[in-house]
Amino acid sequence: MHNAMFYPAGSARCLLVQLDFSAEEVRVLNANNEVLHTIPLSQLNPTSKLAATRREVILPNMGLLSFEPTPELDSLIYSSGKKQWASTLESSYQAIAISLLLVPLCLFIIFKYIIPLAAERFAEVIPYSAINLASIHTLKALDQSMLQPSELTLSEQQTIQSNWQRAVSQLTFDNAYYTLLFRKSESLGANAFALPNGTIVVTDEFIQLIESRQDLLQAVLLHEIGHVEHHHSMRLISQSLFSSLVIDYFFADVSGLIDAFAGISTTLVQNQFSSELEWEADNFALKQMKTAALDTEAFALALEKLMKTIPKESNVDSWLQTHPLLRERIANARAVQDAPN
Amino acid sequence: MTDNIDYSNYSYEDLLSARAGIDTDVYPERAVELDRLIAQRAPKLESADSTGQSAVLRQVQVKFHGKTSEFFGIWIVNILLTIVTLGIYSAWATVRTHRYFYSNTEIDGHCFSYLANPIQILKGRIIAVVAFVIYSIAAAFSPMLMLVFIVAFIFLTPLMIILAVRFKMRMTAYRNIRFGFNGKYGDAFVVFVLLPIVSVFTLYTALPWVFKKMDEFLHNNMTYGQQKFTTQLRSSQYYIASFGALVLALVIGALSLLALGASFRAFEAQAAQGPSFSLLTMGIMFGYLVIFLIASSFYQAYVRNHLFNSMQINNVASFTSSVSAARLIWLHLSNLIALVVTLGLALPWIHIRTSIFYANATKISVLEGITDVVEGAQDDTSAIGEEISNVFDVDIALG
Repeated sequence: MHNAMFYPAGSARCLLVQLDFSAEEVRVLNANNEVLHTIPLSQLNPTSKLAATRREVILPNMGLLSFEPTPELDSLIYSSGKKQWASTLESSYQAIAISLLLVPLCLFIIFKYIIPLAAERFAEVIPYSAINLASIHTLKALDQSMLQPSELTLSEQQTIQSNWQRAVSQLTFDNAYYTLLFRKSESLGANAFALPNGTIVVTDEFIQLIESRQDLLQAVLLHEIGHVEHHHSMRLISQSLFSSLVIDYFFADVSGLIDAFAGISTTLVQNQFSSELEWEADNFALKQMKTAALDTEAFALALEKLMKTIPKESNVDSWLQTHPLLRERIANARAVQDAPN
Repeated sequence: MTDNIDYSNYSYEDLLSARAGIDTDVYPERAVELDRLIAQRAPKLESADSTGQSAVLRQVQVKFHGKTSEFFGIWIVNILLTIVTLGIYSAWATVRTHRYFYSNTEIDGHCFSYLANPIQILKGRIIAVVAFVIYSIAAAFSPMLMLVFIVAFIFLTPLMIILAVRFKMRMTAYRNIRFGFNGKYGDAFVVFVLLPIVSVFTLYTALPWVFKKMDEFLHNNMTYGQQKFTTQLRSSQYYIASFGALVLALVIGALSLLALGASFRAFEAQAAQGPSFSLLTMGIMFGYLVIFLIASSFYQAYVRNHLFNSMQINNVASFTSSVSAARLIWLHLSNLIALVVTLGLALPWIHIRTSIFYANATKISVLEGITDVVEGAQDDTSAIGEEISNVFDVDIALG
């Protein structure tokens, strides 16, 4: 005989009952020893075993049985061949120790290797039409918000364009779909950026900054092309998509505290990832310049000019910036120049 | 039958029902034991309150029996299983985690049950992930499309809140009776979309009142069986809580900015070397997190006490909450420190001690009508709402 609480279906009443197990069936007896229910053991449907919580057995249309777990009761109600493997693992010291080792290892591998790799593969298979559409929409949105029409004269623009076309035709990548656009932007200041479809936008402020020096412009544009050639926008998008999916999936059940943390860790992972992309674009530009026998010093000079427009690097803004510190990039450019081919 | 039943775990009312059903001639020892326990536990009857509710049978403390050692195993094994099954097991993990916390929460001798089926949760999760992927890709590819999504999202948010709360309540049972939620879309839209927008035009001075309306909407639409929850919330209490949280945040924020300003100068020399900037980024985010924790803990403690103290389930129960703001702030801060120091491994401990904290701060007055509660209308509830809102982070905390 085992004590149990019985909740008859449909109401909040609770009866104190005794369970009498036989080989075939279990009888539910009330305090007067009257049999309330007789259920074949094969029809017992206990919720799965979970630590030392009260065991619950749903009796269809009759109600719910609930009782403190004892080894004897457990063996009686879980005898029907169904292994309680989840509960066994959760209380096994070996399984816990193995999990303690494997969980951090798996997470490390996922974030360090699998997600970036998946992002790279994913970025490569996105069709050009989609990328083109995305770029057109992005440019439209920017034109309506941060960009104004260029104030350079037509002849200034044409000079830059034709110089650029001539330079780019000597380079070793497929340059057919790169187009150069001019815009003015007070909010962006001296800036150049590439859209993933090969549209490159430079601001008037940037042309001013480099005093129309063609070699500096080319160096920076090659950096932007590096982003495009390596599918960086799409990789960034997939990277952030995959990481937030993984974080949400594995840690969705935990409290707001962790949510905030997940936010921080995505930002950090993201920053690290995008600074890696900056290096990749830098090195692409430097390599192209060397092949075309251009002076890589131009790249270093362009970066130096850019550095002057940014407030001192100890400013709060630069701590949050995703670009690697400009000083290191300048040093990198100079190092390439000195290195043999 | 020679073995005597151990009645020590039974609630007062269970003892009464056992005593009523027992045959004194056949089981004299049991009858004596029961009489003794009944006399011992007989509650000091409190007077019926002014709203004409039925009398208070007894006041009981909420108890939480979960243990860190036990939950740690459940937690870590479930994460590993989730990873190796590429996320599929997470639905089962969710159910086991919820069941552990529900089954270990005891009121008046009865535990809560968590009834959700992992398949329900898995389905919801798949839909949520697909929706999230579509949204992210569309948003990334076209800012215009994102605008459309944002508008759609504004209209979907109230729906997701309703579905999520309803799922949560329907999957919760006490004494084999389910909770429920009957909130309507129109009301949810007003409370969660219109009022917050309107409050912008009051320079947010109406926001505490909006928070009150949200809590009212959520809690006045809850049911236990066929019985309704009712609240008598006061705007003044929400203004005190919000204003207190704001002042706390501003004062601590100003102080830490001063402190940070001093360390800026010290750091400037170091900045030339550069590489530690991400450490500083983290430092600033951590500071922000701490300020947010302190302010929100104050608000949470204050509002929870007011909410619980003015809430009842008609004829079934009324609540008393005595969360100390200072203790809650300390709980959250120490949780944060433990989490960082242990690189997340303290999470099971944090969950357990937080549950114990809230249980200890909560008392329930059980009213006479408790045994008259019958199951409310049944309906099928899907996990989709809850899952979508989880991924998009609009889940409503009911703490």
